[in-house]
Parts: sequence; structure tokens; C-alpha cells
Amino acid sequence: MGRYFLERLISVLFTFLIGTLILFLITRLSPINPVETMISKLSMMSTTISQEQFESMKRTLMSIYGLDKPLFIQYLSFMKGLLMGDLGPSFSFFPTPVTKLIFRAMPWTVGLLTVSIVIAWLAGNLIGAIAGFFEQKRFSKFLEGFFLVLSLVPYPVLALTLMLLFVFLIPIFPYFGGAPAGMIPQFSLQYVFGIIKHAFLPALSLILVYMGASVVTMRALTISVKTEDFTEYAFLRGLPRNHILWHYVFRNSLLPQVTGLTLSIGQVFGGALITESIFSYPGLGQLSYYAIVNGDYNLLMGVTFFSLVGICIAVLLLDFIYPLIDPRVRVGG
Amino acid sequence: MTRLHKGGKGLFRYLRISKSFTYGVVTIIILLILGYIVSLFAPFDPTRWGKVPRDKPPCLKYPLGTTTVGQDVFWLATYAIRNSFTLGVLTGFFSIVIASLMGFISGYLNEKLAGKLTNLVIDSFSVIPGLPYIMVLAFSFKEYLNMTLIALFLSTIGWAWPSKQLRSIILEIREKTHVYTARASGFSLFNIFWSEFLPYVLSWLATTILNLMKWAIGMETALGVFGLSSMEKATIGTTLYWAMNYQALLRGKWWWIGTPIVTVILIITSLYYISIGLGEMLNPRSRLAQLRRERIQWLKSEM
Amino acid sequence: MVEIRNVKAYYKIGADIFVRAVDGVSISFDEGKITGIAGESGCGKSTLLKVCTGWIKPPLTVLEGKVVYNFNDEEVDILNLDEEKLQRYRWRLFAIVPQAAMNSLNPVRRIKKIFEETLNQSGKKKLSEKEKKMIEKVITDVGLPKEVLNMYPPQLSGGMKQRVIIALAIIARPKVIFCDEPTTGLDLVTQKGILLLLRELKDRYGITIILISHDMGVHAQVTDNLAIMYAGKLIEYASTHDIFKDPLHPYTKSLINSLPMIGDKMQKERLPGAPPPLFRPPKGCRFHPRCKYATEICEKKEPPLKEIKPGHYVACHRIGEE
Repeated sequence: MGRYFLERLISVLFTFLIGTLILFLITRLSPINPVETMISKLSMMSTTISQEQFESMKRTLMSIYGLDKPLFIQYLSFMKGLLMGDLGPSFSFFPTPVTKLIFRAMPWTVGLLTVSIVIAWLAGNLIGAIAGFFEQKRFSKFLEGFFLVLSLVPYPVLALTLMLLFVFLIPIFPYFGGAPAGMIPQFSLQYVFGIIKHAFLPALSLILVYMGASVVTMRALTISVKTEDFTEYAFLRGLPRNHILWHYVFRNSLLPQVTGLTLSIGQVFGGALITESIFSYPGLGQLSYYAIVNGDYNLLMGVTFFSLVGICIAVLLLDFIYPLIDPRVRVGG
Repeated sequence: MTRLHKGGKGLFRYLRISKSFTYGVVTIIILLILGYIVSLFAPFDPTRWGKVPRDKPPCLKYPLGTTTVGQDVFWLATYAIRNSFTLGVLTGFFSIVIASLMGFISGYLNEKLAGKLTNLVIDSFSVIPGLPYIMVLAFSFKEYLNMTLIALFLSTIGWAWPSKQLRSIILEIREKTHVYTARASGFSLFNIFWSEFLPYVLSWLATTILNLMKWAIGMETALGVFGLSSMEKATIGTTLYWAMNYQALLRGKWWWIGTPIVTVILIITSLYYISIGLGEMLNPRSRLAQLRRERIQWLKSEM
Repeated sequence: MVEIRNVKAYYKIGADIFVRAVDGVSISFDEGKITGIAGESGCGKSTLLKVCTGWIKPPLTVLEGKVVYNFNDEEVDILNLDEEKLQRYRWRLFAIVPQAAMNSLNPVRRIKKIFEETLNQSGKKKLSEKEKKMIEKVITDVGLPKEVLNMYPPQLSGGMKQRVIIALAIIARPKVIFCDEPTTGLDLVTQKGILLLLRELKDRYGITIILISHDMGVHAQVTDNLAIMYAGKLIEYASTHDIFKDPLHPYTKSLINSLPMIGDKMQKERLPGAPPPLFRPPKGCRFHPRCKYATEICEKKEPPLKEIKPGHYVACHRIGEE
């Protein structure tokens, strides 16, 4: 099992390296010269910046984008900056450092994502398993068709549709924000309820799409596990149907689904970004939207970097959990 | 030859059998006609502002209404469909080129370092969150964005999944070919490639192209929402962007925002059903293929 | 113990295309003996097993016939039971050792749990001490160490898994056990071990065992009675001793001739042709296209199963006349 952990660790580290390498390459290849952009932007706001701030910022930029040094050195200082958490200041919210903005937005996104993924994955797999077990029945085919179409809808489309329905047509949910406006954050029931109300539609759009994919794949998986020898053999032994459904079919189809989750997290994260910006939910999505609209290069890069980090951590966590449910990895058989 | 011939007959039979496949084919044909033929008849460039009266709901003169900046939604839609397909095909092409290369190397040279390294790269790209990276790319090259460039950017991420699939196909074939090459001489390698390898690859190609098209069109929608698509052209993403920017929802101009939504759903669902149908027809392991084999066996015994 | 009366079981693979896997077979299996069923692949042996154990899933259909179990002065026709009643008899009356046990054990469940669930059909929560002891005993009976109980199936070798499957078959003390090719795919040493185990089980517990195998050598070693099937029909049945000493049907003769024997110097004779397709069996005796003694009547009329000598049944036109 030690070998398994080592392999997974190497894989995730490699992913991290490649991800940062690509980021680095993009900064070098893009026609945007961030230093010049910054300077031109700042000269517009020159009244609010002191000379020292200007200089220190220029220095940071030069070290991050060390445009005068050989490529390899640039890469090293780039990595150094990243690993020390120094992503430079945001252009649009100058001089707030990018990291601060990100940390402020991150809990919202992480919360939204975690809740959505957990619900979607659990519910999707449960429904998919039942649909797969009763493969011939009409409701199974209906469920498959329904969730199939759901899984195909692009995130922005679903988000907009939900907004149309439940914000405008039937005004139940709020238009924007993460928490009731004008309220001081507190642990009161009202505040918590407000948070849920604001998060409901964004979460719903994420859940529906991801659940769609889960149901369809789980159903197919369940159908194939149903035909496995060991399932037949359980049936021959006269084991009760619920027992077979749970211990044989479900437990075995769940395993590839966990692996599938590792691979889909990146997708759902992208969906979260889109959904947040449509609903003006104060997470990383909305932050990226501001960054794009305001030409805030640093911020955008920062969000991308943190996305990478976040995903790598999530994947690693999942990889660590996997041996708990798959005994084959535990005993190396 | 006979195989292709049988394939042609199979297509029409399958059309009759599968309702969803028929829906997919019919819808795609309609969309293609709209996008590539009807759009040629546009009386003016639909992306230009102020060409038609503003904010008109759907009526006889303007079947899909007009936008707040004076564009005819119907003609916008035809251009957008065309652009979506172009984008999809280009993304499919670029991604498959990359995916084939990476898939082959990692599959064929699985034991060697090159293969293992490529495999790590494939896995890494599968995990990396695609959208942020593509956003950064699109943002950096904002001035130069067009369908080809967006397709290129999308391909930098889109190749990963198909590559994984190709790799597993190759690994499976290798298991089988060892048995053959053990007992046959060298020439049958070509034979094996043709009879064993090609059917799976064809099936993979068909489904992958359609999947990539689906994905690319969906991604363009997402980029559009962020304003990172080709903003002057008429695409589904940009239409959504402008509609949202002008608060179309809030102001009740549902046709402006509804058209791209419905269009994209139609495109994606029809592409999906076609890909499933093609998959069943081409994949040597599908149920359809199995039924066909059994039937041929029975027919042969009749003689 | 078990009587099969004129069972016809077909696979439906087209609108009116039937694979006649079992086409009017009648046979009875003696209690407390090991009866073997031999024949080439595709002759219908496995289908017969499925019919005997109520394992009827589409496209398999039973057109007619009965499968009657006689025990405790009761007579139960398996084919006539509804699913609920059949479920109660499963594993308690008869058990199966399926073909290719490699994948028959749930890979994510401990062996111990697999035993417990098999005993625990009615869904009682905990097992009694007695039942736990029974599991341990049965594991040692099949020649495996007790530690196996705590392991997972992927950790076991093929032979070990096969033994576990056999142990699972006897744990509920069924009256009859059906074994489908229990030795195929195992090395010879393990094969011998499994066969000896089966014989031991018969001797010790008096279980009726029906052993299906295409390997005549297996039958020679272990079975008391032997039935030969060909193209969905039963063509010969007698005690194993009689079959090997005096095979009557030409097909049986060629089956036995194919076995290598010590001191044998003659060239083995090959049987020409191949078994007929079961969706269009030949008219008359199904073996006649390959039989070198075939006469006119063999092409026209199907030979009935007749008792030529006491306890020795054959379906062949020529044998009756001699």
C-alpha cells in the first residue's frame, strides 16, 4: 500500500508541476506585457499611489516576470514566488495583494463546490444504481433519458435557465450575492438561512449537471456489474435482493465512480466559476469575472494558480480515501 | 468493400430502429442547412448594430425578434450556428491530432520511459482544471480571438480524455496481437491492424470528434459569459454575453437570451445522439454488432 | 433423488430461431452417488444444469418437462414453483459450483462475510456460535487454513477459490450439488485434489453430486454413474464402470478412445466433422452425419433411449438390433 501512496503522490506532484509550467509559459508567450499594462493602468490612478509603492510594485513585477533574465532563472523565481504565496498585487484593487482577495473569495467557492459535489455524487450514484438494477423497467429508462439531457446542458445554460425560472418568473431566490445584504456575519439562524437561500440556485445548477453525469455512468456501470459472475453467484445462493443490490452491485460499481470523481473535479470547478459569475456569487468565479473585465492580469493568474492547487489537494485527498473503500488496494492482491 | 457496404445499409436500418438517432441526424441536418446555406441569404451582416428596429419581440417580420442594439436575432442565430460548427470541427481536428500522438506513444511504448512519461502527462492534463487555463489564454490573446484560435486553445486541454481512451484501446489490442504474432509470420501484422485495430479506432474517431464538438461548443458558451469569446463575431457565447450585459432577462427580452440557449441545447443533444448511434454501429463490441454477427452466422448456416 | 422428465429448454435468439440446447432429456440421478454428465462443448450440459436449478433467465425458456426432487418423502417440481418458493429451496435443497470460479467471489468482501451471508438467508442479524464453528469446519474440510476466512478473494489462488466455492456449496447442507467443470483451468495437481475432495464429501456427508465435465478423464476418476450428451440429447447412460468397460454408442466409443492411456501405441482415431448447430439439428439421429455405422434409418428416425442391459441405456438404432 505504501507503493500506492507513493505513486499517487508522484502523479499529483507531476500534475502540479505541469500546471505551473503551463502557467509560466502562458505568461511568457502572451502578447500582454503585464509590466506595461500595470504601469499604464496605474498612471491613471497616479494620485493615490506613492512613489515607494510604485517602486516596490515594479520590483515585485520584475521579479515575478523577470523579463530581463534567462528563461530558466525566470522560471525558478516564478516558482519561488508561487510557493511563497506571493502572487503580486491586484491591478483593479490595487494595492491589495492577489492572495488576500483570493482567500476572501475562496471559502465561498469551496463551500459551494463541496456541498454541490457531495450531494450530486451521492444522490447521482444512488439513483444511478437503482436505475441500473431495474434496468428494464420504464422508470429506469426515463431516469436515464432525463439525466442524460441534464448532463449535456452546458453550465452557463442551466444557470441562466434557473435564473430565468426562479429569480424572474417566480421570484423566490435572490439575484446576487452570497449572504443577505446589509447583515453583519453572525451565527444566527437568519443569517445561515440567508446564506442557504443565496447559494441555493448556484448549487442547484452545479448539482443538476453533475448529477446527470453521475446517474448515467453509474447506471451503465451497475448494469455491467449486474452481469458479473459474482453477482450471478450471489443470486444463485438465494441471497436476498436488497443484500445483492447493496453489497455486490453498489459496492463494486462505486469504486470506479470514486476514480471518476477525481477526474471530474476539474470540470465541476470550471462549472462553479461560470455559475458564480452568472449569479454574482462572491466566490472565485465572480473574482475572475472582475479580473477579466478590469484587465487584472495578476488576479486572473492568481485564481488559476489557486484552482490548480485546490484541485491537486482535492485529488490527493480522494486518493487517500480510496484505499478505505477498496480492500484490493489495501492488501495489494 | 463489403464491410462498408454493410455499414451503409446498417445506417438506414439503424435510423429506423432508433428514435433518438433519427432525431439527432434530422436536427443536425436542419442546423447545418440553417448555418451554412440559409445564412448566406442574410440581407446584411447580422453583427452590425442598428440595422433593424430595437427590442422587437418575435413577429412575422423578425421571427426571433431583435436585440437591444438593433440586430436580427434570427440571422444572428444562423451565423452563430455556423461559427459553432466551425469551432467544433476545428477543435476536434486539433485535439485528435494531439491525442493520437500522445495516445500512441503512451500505448505502444507503455513499458519504456517515453511511454510512462507520456502517460503521466496525459493524466496530469486530465486533472488540471481546464476552464481557468483557457480563460487565461483567451484573456491574453483577446485582440486576436477568432474561431480558429479558440479552437487551438481549447485543444490544449481537450486532447487529454481522448488520448486516455486511445491509449487503453492500444493496450488492449497489444494483448491480443501477441497471441497472433506468436503463431503467424510477419505479414499478418498488417492484417491484424486492419481487422482488429481499425474498427476500434474508427469507432473512437467518430465518437471522439462528436464529443469534442459538443465540449467545444459548451466551452465557448462559458467563455462567452465571461466575455472571452470572439466578441465581434456572432457566436452563441457572445450573444449570451451581450444579452446579459444589456440585462435582457431583467427587461423581459426573453427571445434574445432564449434563442442561444435553445440553439445550444439542440446542437449538443443532436450531436450526442448521433455519437451514440455511430458508436453502436461502428464499435465491434456493441450490442448491435453482436446481433449482426449472430444473424450472419445463422444466415451462413442456411446455405 | 432428482428426476428429469422430458425437459425441453431452448434459447431464443431470433423471432423464431431457437437453439435447442436440451431437447427432450429424461434422466434420474441416484441419491448419494456422483453422476457425471459428459459431452463436447455446446452439447447442452450447462443448460441442463441451469434447468435443474431453476436458473432460467431469458433468452432461455423451458418449453416442457419437469424436474422433480424427491426428498423426505416429498416431491417438488422445480420448474413449477413460483420465484418465492424457489428462493427458499435455493442453496438449501441444491447448490451449485459454477464454471470458472475465478470471478465468482465478490472482490470487495471478506471470505468470512461471504460465508456468513450464505448462511444468513433469512436475514438474522448475528450468527450463532454453532454456525461460526460450522464455517471454520467446512473451510478445513476443503483443505484450507482458517486464515483464509479473513482474506479477500483477490488474494487467493485459483485452486483456493475453487475450494472456497465448494465449501460454500456444502455449508448449508444441501441434498444435491451440481458442479459445472470444477477442474477446468486448474493445474493437474490441484485438479486431483478437488476431485478427491468431491469424493470425500460424497462419502462423508452422503451428498448427491452431479458433475459436468467434457474431460472423460475426470469422470473416470470420480463418478459412479455417467451420462453422455450429444447435441442436446442424452445418448448413453450407465455406471461409469460399464461405460468405460463396454461403451455402446459410437460417440461414447470415440470419446473414450480419445483418452491417452499408458502403453498405448496406436494412432488415436479422430472423429470427423463437428457437432451440429443446435438451431438446426439434423433429422433422425443427431449423430448420423459423423457416424461411420450410419444406415438409412439413422437419417430418418430419432433413436429412443432403450435399456439394452440392466442399468445401461443407449439411444442408437444399431445397438438395439444386435
